[in-house]
Amino acid sequence: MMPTADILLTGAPLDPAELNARLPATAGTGAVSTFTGLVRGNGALTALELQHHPVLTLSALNVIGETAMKRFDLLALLIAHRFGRMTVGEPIVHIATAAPHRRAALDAVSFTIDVLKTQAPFWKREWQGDTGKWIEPTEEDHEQAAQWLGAMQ
Amino acid sequence: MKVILEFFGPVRDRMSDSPGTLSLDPGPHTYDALISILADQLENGGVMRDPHLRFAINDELLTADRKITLADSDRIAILSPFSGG
Repeated sequence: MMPTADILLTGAPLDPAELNARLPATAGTGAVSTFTGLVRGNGALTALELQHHPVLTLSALNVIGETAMKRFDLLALLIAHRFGRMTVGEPIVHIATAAPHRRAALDAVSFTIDVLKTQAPFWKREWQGDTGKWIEPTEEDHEQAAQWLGAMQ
Repeated sequence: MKVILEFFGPVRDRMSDSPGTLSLDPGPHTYDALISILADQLENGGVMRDPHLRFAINDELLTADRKITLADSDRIAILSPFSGG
């Protein structure tokens, strides 16, 4: 039976080292690749807020995970995504892949983060003190997701 | 028929004066018709025509080619462009 993606959607802080340990060790693993997205310090930024949809966000992460597993023939995939309020330097998202070869492991990480940015229902708001500003996806975000989206249809 | 409107992300701020419910008689049967009704009936409804907005009915994302069937008390979610990661 094909392994399933490990999806974690949480309001608690992410610990990348702890999350990597969730990847199952298999004899066939030849490469493990990871990506961690962090809250970037940006001028007077005091916090970053991630909102999500109570049902659709987890569904979208599951679809993205299962698509990546199949497309790249992965042995394991973990997607962990925060919601709520975070401070500079905190992880927002952590992705880890395991595959027999490096290319699949690396490409699967790129696929997952590129697609997740425009296909998973999250909304990002930067806070400077009491002033909030929504962050809209950029054209570059849409273009990077578009290069993979055939795999989602 | 009365449907419940839910706004997510930046669009929630832009539509903050909108009512939480909307009367539809008759209900729209296509994606484009749904957008037109929302755009026409809501104050500041032009926002509904943003091509990057997504719509869901009862927690199921709509695609542009799907036929729509609405019932009383259905929930229509209007989702701002996603910006995760």
